[in-house]
Amino acid sequence: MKQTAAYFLAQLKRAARLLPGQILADIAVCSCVGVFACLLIAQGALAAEGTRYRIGMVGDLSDSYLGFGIAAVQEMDDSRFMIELVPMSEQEAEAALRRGELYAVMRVPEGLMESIVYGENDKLVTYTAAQGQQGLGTMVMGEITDIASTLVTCSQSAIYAMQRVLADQGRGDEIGWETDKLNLALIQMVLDRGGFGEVEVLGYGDGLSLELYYFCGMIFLFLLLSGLLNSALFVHRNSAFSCFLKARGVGAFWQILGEYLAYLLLVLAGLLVLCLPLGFGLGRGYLGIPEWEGMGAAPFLAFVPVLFPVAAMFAALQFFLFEAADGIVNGILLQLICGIGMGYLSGYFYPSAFFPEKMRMLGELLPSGAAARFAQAGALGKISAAAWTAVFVWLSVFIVLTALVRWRRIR
Amino acid sequence: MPGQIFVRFMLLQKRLLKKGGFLLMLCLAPLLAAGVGRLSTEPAGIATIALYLPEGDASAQEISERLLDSGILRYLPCGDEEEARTQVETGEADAAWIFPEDLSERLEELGDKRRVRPVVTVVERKDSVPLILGREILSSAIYPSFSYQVYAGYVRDELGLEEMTDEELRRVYDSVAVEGSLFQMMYPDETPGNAEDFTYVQAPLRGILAVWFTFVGLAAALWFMQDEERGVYGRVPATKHLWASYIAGAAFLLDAVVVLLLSCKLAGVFTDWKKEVMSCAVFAVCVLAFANLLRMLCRTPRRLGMTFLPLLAAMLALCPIFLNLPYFKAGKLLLPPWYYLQSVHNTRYIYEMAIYTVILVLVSAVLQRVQSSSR
Repeated sequence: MKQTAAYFLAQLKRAARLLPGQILADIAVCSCVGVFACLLIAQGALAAEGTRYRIGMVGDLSDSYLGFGIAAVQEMDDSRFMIELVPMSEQEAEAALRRGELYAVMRVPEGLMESIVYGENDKLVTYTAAQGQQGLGTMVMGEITDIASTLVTCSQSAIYAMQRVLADQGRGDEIGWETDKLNLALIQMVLDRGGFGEVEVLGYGDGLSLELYYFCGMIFLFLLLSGLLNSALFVHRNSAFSCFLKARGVGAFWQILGEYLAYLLLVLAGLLVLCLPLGFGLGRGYLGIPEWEGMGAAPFLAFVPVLFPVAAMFAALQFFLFEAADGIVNGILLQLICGIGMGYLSGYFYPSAFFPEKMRMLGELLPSGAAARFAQAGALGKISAAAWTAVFVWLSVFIVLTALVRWRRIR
Repeated sequence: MPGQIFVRFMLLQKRLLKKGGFLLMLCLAPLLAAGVGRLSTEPAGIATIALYLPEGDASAQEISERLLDSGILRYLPCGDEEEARTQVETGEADAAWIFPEDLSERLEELGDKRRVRPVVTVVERKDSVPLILGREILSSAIYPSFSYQVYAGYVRDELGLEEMTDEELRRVYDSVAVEGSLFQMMYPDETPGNAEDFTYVQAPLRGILAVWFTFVGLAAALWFMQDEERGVYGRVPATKHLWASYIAGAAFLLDAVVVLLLSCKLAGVFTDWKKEVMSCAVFAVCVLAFANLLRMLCRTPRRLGMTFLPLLAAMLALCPIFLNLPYFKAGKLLLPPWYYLQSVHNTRYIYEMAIYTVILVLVSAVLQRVQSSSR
């Protein structure tokens, strides 16, 4: 026991030597994220205005109807909250697309309006997305263009049908006047289309707001990937020293426990470094979380202890991966793929509600999912026994597995 | 000389492939890709809508068909209004769309009056961007039935043709109905947007794999540093260390290239062989040069290890993996995965990546010279 305690102290000293560098790297990560967030806020990207898709319009925009359509979208239509249309030249659009200032470029072909007016619809507006490959954004754009197409083609159908009825009745001379009247009525209805639904908002219910969800997700991701930061602790390790310790009476389990506790302190130190700017930001009101609005940093300070069991579980996971990987290089790569993979499946990047049922269930079963459930319940002040059990079971499993790997290596 | 390089390369390969941990790490990437690729075929949506539509109503049937055609929302059909509300209250759904029993009559009445008034009750937990888009999808699903009623009402009331029957009006409407989309999505390389058939759940996999691949390159640099400390390269002249590190890194990355291509295929985000192999090859060389320059700048494995998390944070934030922010272009230009992800449908980025690689190699060569002369 005495030797185990001495080994733990030695590991603690080793971890303490790493601490200044690790804190510096933590500060670097926090600064990167902080600067990034501040610049985004400063540029208005998080404001309602800035979250719109900025789309460059090029090509034949000379038609007055088209000009009216663009102005209507910009000024009157509900879609103005989602997209911003910017008329520009082809060269300007290319340059802006290259600079990453546009989400997409829409090219209006010559004679588009004539084609629509005569019901030919043989000229297509092509839009080129800035994104390299299809993603959530391009799929949303696809939906928006489908909506626009439906509104235009259904209005066209109504007008042509009315014109055909008039022609069949031998009242061709009225077509122009009646078309204008019906056109204006349909345009008004398209602009008012949001009124088809009567909206009732129930409030948050028992779920988290998106802001708190991503706030927790960011902390979990930091904890899950902090193994990359602490990898220096595993450089220059070899089995010979572990065998020597075993010969001195410190078995695999006690070796692991001593090393793990020292490692856990590094992870907790990293967590505290992260929590300082977050607490400051919440206290000053720079970060807006609806559930904690007007309460300063107090709810967050009460939330921080909830993160300790999660940190302990993630530390055990990272420790196991480094032990199982047999070498720092493989350890880092395992940390990365497991961290990002688990984080993705458990909804740290996209809300897990976006995923299919089975994928969501898998994400919840993973350690990252258990951590998310535990801390999200903690943020609302109601952690269930099942959430505690899941975290504790995963923590124990990783410690036991790590000890088994070590035991196998030194037996 | 090429023979020696080849022998050294093969020896490194043998050494790597004997390590169980390395093989495990290589296997995890395709496993993740195949798993997500398979699971993503199940229904999913950025918002879940509890849908109540009255049975036997013609307009409700049409609207239902149009809604279920939309791929970005997930619908939970409900038997009655109460069930739909309960789904929202319990968090099973983000919103409920409850249509009235007399939907067709309501639409007809509004069409006659040419006015937009509520025909559906929308119950939401909280307003959000996916639900705003959802309401647009709802409006566009109602609009075809509504615009038909507007036409029918206009013909009867404004044109004074009250004697026209529903069948006659419908026949004329169907004979001139305009269909199809007015928009076509294209990638910069002229590939149509609908050429790719995968969901948003699969979409970030290429980005995740690109970040993983970059870290394979960084891990290779770390491995080389450890070998250097152990004296493995003691007999290699200091001026040749850069080339030795490229060979060591290439051994890692060759395996990773195969895994990256296989994983993209399994994930369902693969485009075509020629394009994929070309951009992957340039990406591999770029990562090799990037990782080695970083190795030379950091000088010790510990310092290199310390850069990993900030670098990962930068890649996740700046590369178009989960979100594509139109800011920090200068920062993006420093990250190899950004070029790779942009190059999938735009060959210009392959050339830019190649130029960036040449710059990295030149800077590395200069740094190598400076470092070896100062020793």
